[in-house]
Amino acid sequence: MGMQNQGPAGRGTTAWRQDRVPAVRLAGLRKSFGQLAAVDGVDLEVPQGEFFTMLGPSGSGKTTMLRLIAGFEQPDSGVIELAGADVTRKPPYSRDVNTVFQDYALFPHMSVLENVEYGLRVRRVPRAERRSRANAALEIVRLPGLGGRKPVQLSGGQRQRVALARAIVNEPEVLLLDEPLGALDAKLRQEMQLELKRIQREVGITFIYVTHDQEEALTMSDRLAVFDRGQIEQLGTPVQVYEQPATDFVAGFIGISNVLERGGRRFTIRPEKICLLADGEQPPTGSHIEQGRIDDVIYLGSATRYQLTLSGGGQLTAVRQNTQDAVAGTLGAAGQTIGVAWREDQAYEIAGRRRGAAASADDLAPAGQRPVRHEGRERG
Amino acid sequence: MEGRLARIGLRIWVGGVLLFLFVPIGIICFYAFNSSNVQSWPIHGLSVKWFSVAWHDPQVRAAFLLSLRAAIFATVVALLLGSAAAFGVHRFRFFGREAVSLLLVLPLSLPGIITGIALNSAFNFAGIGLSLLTIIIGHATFCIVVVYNNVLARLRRVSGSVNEAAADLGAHGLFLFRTVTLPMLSTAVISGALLAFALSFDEVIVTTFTAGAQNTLPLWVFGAIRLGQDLPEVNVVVVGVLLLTVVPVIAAARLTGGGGITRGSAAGPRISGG
Ligand SMILES: Nc1ncnc2c1ncn2[C@@H]1O[C@H](COP(=O)(O)OP(=O)(O)O)[C@@H](O)[C@H]1O
Ligand SMILES: [Mg+2]
Repeated sequence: MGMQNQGPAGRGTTAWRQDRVPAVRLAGLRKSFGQLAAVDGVDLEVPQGEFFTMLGPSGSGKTTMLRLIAGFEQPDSGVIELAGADVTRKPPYSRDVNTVFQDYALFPHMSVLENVEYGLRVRRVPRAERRSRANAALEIVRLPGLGGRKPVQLSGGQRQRVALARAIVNEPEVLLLDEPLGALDAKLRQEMQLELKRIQREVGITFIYVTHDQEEALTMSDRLAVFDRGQIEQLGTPVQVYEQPATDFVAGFIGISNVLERGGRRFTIRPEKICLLADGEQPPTGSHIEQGRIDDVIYLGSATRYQLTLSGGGQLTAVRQNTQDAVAGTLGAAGQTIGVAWREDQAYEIAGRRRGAAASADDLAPAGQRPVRHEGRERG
Repeated sequence: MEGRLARIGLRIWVGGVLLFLFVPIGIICFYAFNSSNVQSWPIHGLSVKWFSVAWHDPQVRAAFLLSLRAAIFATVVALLLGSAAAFGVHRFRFFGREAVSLLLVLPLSLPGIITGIALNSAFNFAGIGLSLLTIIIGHATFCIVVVYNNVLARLRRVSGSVNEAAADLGAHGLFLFRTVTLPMLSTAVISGALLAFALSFDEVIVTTFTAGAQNTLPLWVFGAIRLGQDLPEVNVVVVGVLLLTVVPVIAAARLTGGGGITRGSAAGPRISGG
C-alpha cells in the first residue's frame, strides 16, 4: 500500500518528452505460437529515459514482448521502432538494446570483468577504455573489486548485478529486464528494487521492466502497462492504474478489488478508501453511505481488514489503519452491522468487463449485461 | 539401531560387488608380473620380463599400431560427424529430426554382432576389401554416438540463453562461436573424444567382422587366449589396454562431471542434475 500519499500527478510524464522520438514504438505487434496468440496486437510508445513496466500474470506474453523487442523472435505482423528507426527485421546483434535475462545468462568461462567487457569487445573498444568503462559499470552496480571472480563464485544477488553491469556498460538506447529479481529472496528483492531505481536515474537509460509482482511495478515504474493474454489492459502511471483500474482484470490483479454494481453501473473502490463508521460517528461530507454486515475481521498488524456484505448487494473488503484511536476490535465483531461510507469521487466506474477475468466480481453482474469497452479487443 | 545395521549391511554388499568386479582385473595385473610362463598359484616369482617380451613381439606391435591408428581415425571421424550432427539436431527444426536423433543413437544399443555382420555384408556387396578403412568405419558407427550425445547434452544445457546473451551484446557469426559457443562446448567435445577413443581401442565384436586378416590388439588377445598361446604376454597386453582405456574414461568423467558441466550450469540459478 502506501500509494495514497502520492499526488495523482504521479512521477514521470513531463512535457519535454513529447517533442522527442520515443525510445521504443510498437505498432500492431502480433506473435503467435501455433494457435496461441502470445502477443495479440500491442501498440505502445515508451519515451526516452522512462522506467516502464510490463505487469501481468505468468503466461500473459511479457517475455515474448521483450524477445520481440530484442530481436530473438520475429513478429507475425506489426512494427518495432527504436529511437525512430524501424528494426522489425533486424537481428538481435544490430539492435541498440540490451537484456538482463531472468537466469542472468552470464558467460561461465569468463571472469566477471570479461563478462562486463564483452559488449565493448564486440564493438572493438580499445582495451584500456574497455577496462575503465567495465570497472565504472561494476562501480555503479556496487560490485567493485570482484572483476577477477568467475560467475560461479558469486551469490545470486551478485550475479544479478553483474548481468546488469554487462548490459548498462554498453549504454544502450533501451534496457530490457525480464523479472530480474525473480530469483532473489524477499529482502534482497526490496534492496535491489531501490538499487535498480537509483541506477536507472544515474545512467538515464530507458528501462523496460517485466514483472508479475504488482507491488514491484507500482513502486518502481514511471508508467506501467498491465498485460493479460497478450494485450494491454491498461496503460498509465502507478497512481492511475491503482486508483482507477480500467477493467475488472486490472482491479483484480492490482491490489484487492472491490467491484459493486449500483443502478446497472459497475464501480470499484480501493479497500483503504472505505470509511467504517463506529456507532454515532459522522461520515465525511460528500460521502455515499450504506449499511453493511461484518463477515470477518482480520488483524494485519498495522491495519485491520474487514470483509463486509452490503445490504444494498455486493461484498467489500475494507482496510483500516490501526492508528491510536482506531485499534482492531473497536468497530465490532463479525455479525454486527455498521455504516460503510466512501467519497463519491473515490468510486470509479469500470468501463468494461473483459472475458470474465476477475473471478471475485463474477457474482455481481448478470452475464447478459456486460458493457463493452474496446470492441475490437473483445473475445468470446 | 535398524538404520545402523542396514548401513553396515549395505557397505558389505557394495564391497562385495566391487570385489566381484575388480578382483579378476587385479589378478590379471598381478599375473603380468609373474616370472613363470605357467599361471599357477602361488606364483613362482616377480618379474617384468614379459613386458619386454611383449614390447618386442612384432605381432603385438603390429596389432598395437593398428589399434592405435583405428582408434585415432575413428575418433577424428566421430568428432567431425558427431559434433556436426549434434549442432544440426540442436539448432534446426526439420522434418524427421526425432528420427535422425534416434537413428544416430541406435548403433550404441544395437548388439555389436548385428552391426558387425551388417557392415561385413555391406562391404562385401560394395566390393570393398576389409582393411584399416573398414575398421575405422565400423568403429565410427558407435564412436559418433558418444561424441553426439556428449555435445548435444551440453548444447541443450547451456547454449540457449548464453548464446542469446552474446547476440544481445552485439556478437554474431564466427566471433560469437569462437568466444562463447566453443569454449562452453570444449570440455564436452574433449570428453566425447576420449570416450570414443577408449571404446574403439578395446572393441572386439564389430572389429571381428570388419578387420579381415589383420589383428587389432583386442583381436590378438582374443586369438591368443583361444589358442592358449603366449598367455604371459596376454596379461601384459591386457594391462596396457586397461591403462589406455581407463585413463581417457576417467579424464572424460572429470571433464564433464567434475569441472566443465557443473561450472557451466552453476552460472544460472537452475541446478541441473547429473
Ligand atoms: N517458444 C514458444 N513456443 C511456444 N509457445 C510459447 C513460446 N514462448 C512462449 N510461448 C507461450 O506464449 C505465452 C506467453 O508466454 P510468455 O511470453 O513467456 O509469458 P510471460 O513472460 O508473461 O509469462 C505462454 O502461453 C507460453 O506458453
Ligand atoms: Mg516470462
